[in-house]
Amino acid sequence: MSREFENRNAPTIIKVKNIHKGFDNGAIPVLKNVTLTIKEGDIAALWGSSGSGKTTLLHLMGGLDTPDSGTIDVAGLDPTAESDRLALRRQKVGFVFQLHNLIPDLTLKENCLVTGVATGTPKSECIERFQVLAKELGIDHRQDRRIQELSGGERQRVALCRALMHRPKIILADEPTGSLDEKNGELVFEILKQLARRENVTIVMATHERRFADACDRIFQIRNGQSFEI
Amino acid sequence: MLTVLSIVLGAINMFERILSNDSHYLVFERNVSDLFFSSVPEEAVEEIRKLEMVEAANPILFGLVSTEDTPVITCFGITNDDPRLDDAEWIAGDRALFGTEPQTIYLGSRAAEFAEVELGEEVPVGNDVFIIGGILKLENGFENGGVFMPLKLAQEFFSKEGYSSIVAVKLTDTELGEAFKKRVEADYPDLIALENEEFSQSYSQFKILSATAWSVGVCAFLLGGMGVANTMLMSVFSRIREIAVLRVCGFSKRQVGTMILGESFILAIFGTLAGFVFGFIALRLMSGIPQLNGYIQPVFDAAILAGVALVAFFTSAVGSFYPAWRATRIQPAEALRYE
Repeated sequence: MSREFENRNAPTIIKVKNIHKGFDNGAIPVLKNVTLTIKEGDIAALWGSSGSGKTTLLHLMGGLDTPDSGTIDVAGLDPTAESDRLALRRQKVGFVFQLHNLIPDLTLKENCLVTGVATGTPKSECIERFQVLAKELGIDHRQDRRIQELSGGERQRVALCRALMHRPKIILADEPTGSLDEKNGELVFEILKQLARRENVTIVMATHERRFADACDRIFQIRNGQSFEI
Repeated sequence: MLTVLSIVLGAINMFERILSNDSHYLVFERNVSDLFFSSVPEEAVEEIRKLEMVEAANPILFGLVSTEDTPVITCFGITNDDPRLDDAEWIAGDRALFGTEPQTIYLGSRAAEFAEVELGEEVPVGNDVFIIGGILKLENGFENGGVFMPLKLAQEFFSKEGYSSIVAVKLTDTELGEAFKKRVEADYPDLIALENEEFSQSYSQFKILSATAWSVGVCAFLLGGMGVANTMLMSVFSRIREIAVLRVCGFSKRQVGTMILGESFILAIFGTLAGFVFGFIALRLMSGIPQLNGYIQPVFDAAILAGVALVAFFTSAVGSFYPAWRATRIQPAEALRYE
């Protein structure tokens, strides 16, 4: 795997400026003055060891958490503002997690349609989109299966499908290959990249594996709570 | 709640029917807390009978008696022309002989079954021994589980010679009710005449019973509400990660809250239906228990069912409000870290 995409002229889609974040009322600092920009169409890696703050930064970008100070702009929206968060999640951002976070009581298809339920998108439109994505991800033949009946690789592809259902501009992926074996990890990563290129989606992926980081367009190393582009 | 209300309101209904048997008005002593303590003198009964507007006036003396096996049996002292004697099905004994033989009493069929006695047998009642002169099957559970005595015998037994508890009055024309009422109250200031419906609404014992039933029922529902709250709270806590995922997928706080409230309502619908079914079965079983002497004659009317359903939904709404609110407060990032 190697860096393969130059994206210098694209507009900036994520701006993170002077972000500070700590837990226990700041007693445990996690991010210290982090600043970075990501351009539209980039496949960017947040690379660092466990506990370095990659997931926290990803959560801040997606409005799942709020910084102690600093500003964030994601596709023109402010994830720190309550009023922008819902629009951000419904329109701009899709999430993929290490532990896929699918709803076990629902089928593969139902899990993917959840986003449509949230946004009130017509069911027929959602199903049409699902069928296209499911086929591309190779999970269409298992669409009525419950999550427990799927393998780890399949589950992560379902999570990817769900994240792409509402045509987001950005995918925030938190160790998407972390719970998979080498073969399945590479497969999921390749699918993620291909879909991102075709759908013109920006990807920000947290990973602790250097080989996946190296395969991204840009690498931000998160170390001691700070970000360094390498 | 349905069970409690049905039993109590059924009991009230049965007692009302005893009092109002083929009559329009009830005459009894003013300001008594319970009809068992009411005393209407025989002269008043005779005078009432003579009134032009009165078609029939039947005195009844209520009392409580006990046997070896049953500590409390309702006793009705009635006259030979009381309509319930004609309305009853005489399983044993001769209707025409009622009140003509000494020391003779008549049993409701459930009372006879429970006491395991037959026609002609002697039974000790209180400090006396009586002969069973007949066994009657009556529709009313209280009457069917009771003892009937000729009025004179009852007056002697209860040491209330010359008195009855109430007089059930049938008028020639119900339009004359107000006139009858005024006449009785003018002639006998110690007595009061109330139309049957008026009596049911004002009789303090019925009010107490009814209020008790509703209070017990409401307490049952408060417990039910806590049950709903507990169930939904457990559900929210066990699905904390799932709710966080829904928030990540674009569910608003309102959508999450609505989802939890909706689940509570579904729980309430099934709970109410199950309560109706189990309550109905319990009442059917209880009404068949011989030891209860048929005292339980459940009443299911639309108002009770609607009231119970309404309280169930209100309780579930209140009970689910807190879990729904808690669900909306879940912070996705924090919840996704939750194991």
